[in-house]
Amino acid sequence: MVVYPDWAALAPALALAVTGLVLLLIDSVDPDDSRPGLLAGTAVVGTLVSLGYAGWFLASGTGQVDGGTGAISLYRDALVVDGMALFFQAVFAVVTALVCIASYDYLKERAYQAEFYSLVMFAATGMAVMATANSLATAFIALELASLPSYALVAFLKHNRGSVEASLKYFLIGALSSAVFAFGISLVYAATGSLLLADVASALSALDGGLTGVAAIGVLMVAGGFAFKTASVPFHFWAPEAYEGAPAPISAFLSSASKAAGFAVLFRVFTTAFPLDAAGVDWMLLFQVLAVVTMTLGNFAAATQETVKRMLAYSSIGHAGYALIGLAAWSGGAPGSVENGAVLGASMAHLLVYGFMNTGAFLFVALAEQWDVGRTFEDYAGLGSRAPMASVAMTVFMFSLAGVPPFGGFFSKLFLFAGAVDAGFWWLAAVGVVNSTLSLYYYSRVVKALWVDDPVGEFELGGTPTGLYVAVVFAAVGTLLLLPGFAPVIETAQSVAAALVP
Amino acid sequence: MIIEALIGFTFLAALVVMLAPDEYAGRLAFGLSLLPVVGSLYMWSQFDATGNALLEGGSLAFETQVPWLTAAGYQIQWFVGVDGISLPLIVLATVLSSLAILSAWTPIDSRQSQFFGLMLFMEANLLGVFTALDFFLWFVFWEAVLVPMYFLIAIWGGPRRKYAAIKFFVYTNIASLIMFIGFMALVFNLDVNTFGLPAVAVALRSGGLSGAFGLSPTALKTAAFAAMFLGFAVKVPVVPFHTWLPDAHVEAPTPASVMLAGVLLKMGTYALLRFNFTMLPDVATQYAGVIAIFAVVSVIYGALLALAQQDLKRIVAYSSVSSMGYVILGLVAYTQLGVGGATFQMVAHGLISGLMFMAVGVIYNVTHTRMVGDMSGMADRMPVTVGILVAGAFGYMGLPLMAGFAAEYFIFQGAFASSVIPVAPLFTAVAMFGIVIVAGYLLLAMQRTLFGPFRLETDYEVTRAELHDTLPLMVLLLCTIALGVAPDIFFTMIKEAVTPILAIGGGA
Amino acid sequence: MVPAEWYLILAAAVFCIGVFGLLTRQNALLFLMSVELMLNAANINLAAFSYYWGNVTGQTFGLFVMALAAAEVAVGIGIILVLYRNFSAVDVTDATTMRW
Repeated sequence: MVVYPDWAALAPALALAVTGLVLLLIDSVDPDDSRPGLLAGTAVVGTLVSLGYAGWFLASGTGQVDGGTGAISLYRDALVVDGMALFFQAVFAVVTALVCIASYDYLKERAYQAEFYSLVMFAATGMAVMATANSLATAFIALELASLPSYALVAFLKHNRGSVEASLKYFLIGALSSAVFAFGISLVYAATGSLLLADVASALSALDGGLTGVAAIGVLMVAGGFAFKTASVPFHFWAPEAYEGAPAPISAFLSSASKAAGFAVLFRVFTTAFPLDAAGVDWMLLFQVLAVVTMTLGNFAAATQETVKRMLAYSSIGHAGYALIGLAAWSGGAPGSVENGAVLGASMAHLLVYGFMNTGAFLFVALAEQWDVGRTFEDYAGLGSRAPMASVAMTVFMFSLAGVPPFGGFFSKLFLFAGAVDAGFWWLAAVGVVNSTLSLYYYSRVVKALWVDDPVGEFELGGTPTGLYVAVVFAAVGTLLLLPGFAPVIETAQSVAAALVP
Repeated sequence: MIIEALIGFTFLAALVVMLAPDEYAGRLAFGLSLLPVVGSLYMWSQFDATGNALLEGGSLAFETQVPWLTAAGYQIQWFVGVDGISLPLIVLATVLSSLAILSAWTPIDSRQSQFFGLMLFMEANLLGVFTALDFFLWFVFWEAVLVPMYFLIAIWGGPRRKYAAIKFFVYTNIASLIMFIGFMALVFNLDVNTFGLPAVAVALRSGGLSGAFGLSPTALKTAAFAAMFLGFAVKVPVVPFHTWLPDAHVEAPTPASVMLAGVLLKMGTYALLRFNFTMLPDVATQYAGVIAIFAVVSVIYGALLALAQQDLKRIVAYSSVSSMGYVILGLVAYTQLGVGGATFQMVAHGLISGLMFMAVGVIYNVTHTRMVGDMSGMADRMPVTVGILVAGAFGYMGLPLMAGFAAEYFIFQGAFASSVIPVAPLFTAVAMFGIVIVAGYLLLAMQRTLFGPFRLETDYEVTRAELHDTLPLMVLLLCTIALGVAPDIFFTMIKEAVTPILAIGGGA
Repeated sequence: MVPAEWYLILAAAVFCIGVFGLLTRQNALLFLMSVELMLNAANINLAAFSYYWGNVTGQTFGLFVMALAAAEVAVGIGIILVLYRNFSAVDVTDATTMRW
């Protein structure tokens, strides 16, 4: 048997980084964007390699406790490759692949394609590293690595006022929250003298009274930094603007992958670095409040929107609220125990399903932008008979996002709420269920527009963008297959989540 | 495997039809839908189940049980099987779907491939509802039935179709949610590790429930019973939860109405029987009087509303509310004849109401009106259709030798002898009065529209309907008569399956 | 030697000045400067407590924060530049084509 060096465990992240560099290389050799297929192809291959590695490692037990090597610590514990990291890396790779396939058509006539793809790759690399971050320092750096290219990507349509405005707002709030995050880290360091998650945890447990308050403020500020990345209250303001103004593939990328990355590092940091009884602040209560406020705010705001993209943006905030249940109802049981993984794993599985259905939904919006049919619900009227394949896919996404049974979103929400009930937080599940019911209203508006309403005027759909179609259909198939195929996903997610606290 | 084959084939057929060109979609769909009919008849011929699927001592036919996944320590599985209660409903679903598809050839004139694809998609999910024995599997199918129905109403319906479709969707979805929460509250406090309905039913009947949410086990049971009853009552529908039904029926295209009245309403009563009355017999018997009041009010109020209508379709729709009231009355009687008769009534009413809607639809295809006052003497121009319509109406009124008579007779006899319902004879007598009203309004409407001198203001010649329009009517009429003459072809297996339910429920 | 708490207070003060600037200024560039102040407040803490705890983790991380702050400014200036091209202003309240 070949013995691989430890750093090879970072292959999913490295594949993305290398792809980004290769793209830049291609661009310097052939700078005039004359080969969009080559660029998109390279990007897609890179993400698929990353996905392949993540999947292979997950299947072969790399970094996992059950029948595997156990978590692999790298660079003096600054990074750790375990089941959760690989799970999230798989999510990022899937979403990035879909986005790259879709971008082929979206970018066809535009300049700076290579830069676009390489920025996407670098942002994805940042996310992949976020999932492995085992120290507050690497968490911060990885978060910035994921964020900085995202700011530029949102402003990619630099002659489009909406795009620039979106980028500005995204950047301003991003900068603010990263400053808050950095200050929070500095306070945690002040209290504990370390940035490694495990050391922070042990130092917090042995903390003498004087510094408890400092640590508590630090923990709160760190939570704020993550709230930005996951588009949760109170740093959610940027999300509707950025998602609406950004090019639709980037909206898909940010609302699915970037959000999942935020959750990846959020889960790891809070469960391993800030023990519930010693963090000086009851962060479970904090996340309960945040979860309820976030999902309620997101859903109610989504219900009042007129444009589809903005509705999706608010619904994305709502889903951040659902995913927060993973921490809000975390059992905090004995280390390594199964119940630790139950609700956290459900939250991770939800993020995976969400990766498919939400990316698909935003890509459908990209398709509509490509056809120039307009932005509001009414503008989508009659699309069902003109583009039946894509519309069926969009119907699947909408019902799945709403959590209606025959689709993947049903099971992920179900496990999440069932986990919350099991952990004794039935009221949290109840709020979630009520919100889900409400969400059916605005999601079904899209479905109604697609199939039921008569088009306002005659219009022709300009062309059939193959890449976008492929991406949308692939996402729909994924969403559907995740209903019968949910068993391995949830089992993997729950077991790796249980292994999170060793 | 035959159940999987049936469901899988129907899904596949739906997909094929969706992708077929509009011109052939109807014929293709009808052809493909014959195979499930053959399959369900084959299942009938090979049927060898004994007892009730959910209770001890019962054995299933065509059972498959494959683990799917584990949620919060509970096993979810692909678990399907058939017993004497579900088999008649499966036959009903396949036959009625096939005939509804045939009857849709004429009225559906746009986006045919989508229409027929959705019909088949709905049929596949209906088969799932009646065979699934795992709660989650069942719930998935149960909810999935709503989606095609929503589109069928919303796209091909009448002028107020969007309103009706949304109302239908929202009503039934909220109801499902309430039911879902009720059932979850039960299972989470029960000493089981599976969502398999048989295990849950046995555990509940043997009293393995612990209290929760500050409620005692009895109170929890009662609350869950109420939640599930409410959820299913919307589907049935029981007065006062019926308001979505007339809207949905009036706006829905006729073939969708046929499915809605013929099969979808039976989902509600089937679920009531499977969940409320099988799993929680103690609560059901304790509150039998209250439920019987709901039933009788549905019977009388539905009939009275029907009496007040001018729209033929609305008349049939409201009379469905009335007929479903009988089902509830039979169920709550907790006697073999009562529960068995109620199950039999589900099938009988499925056939007869399907027949009535179809016949009204055939007339509408020609006249483009359904208002009683707008036409008269239709018998003159469409003798076959009108003849069948009249026969169907008599079936509705409970003419002996038709399925409706047998069903209602069983129910009344069962309810009369019930030891569970307080003052059972009184309730039965009041409910029987409903038949008089039914006879009244149906005869009145018949007389005004079908007989007398021909009158209808059109600028075209009113002619006989096509053979493919009247053929489904004939088939349904034949089925109705066959079941009326020989109810035992279903009733024997139904009796067999309902008897174990009565073991705790009292009565005999 | 200056007690550790004083550094905490200093850092908190600098951080608050940054927050104040952020809330009151409408000029995007001043906004950026305010964020810089907030990041430097974090650096004060990191450097001070690196000394206090006797390890270099904090100082090292402080260097990273500075580098990232520079990167952030680079991207930020770029965005502000295109903002100026599109809206002819660097006032953050001018860009309101969408609802806030």
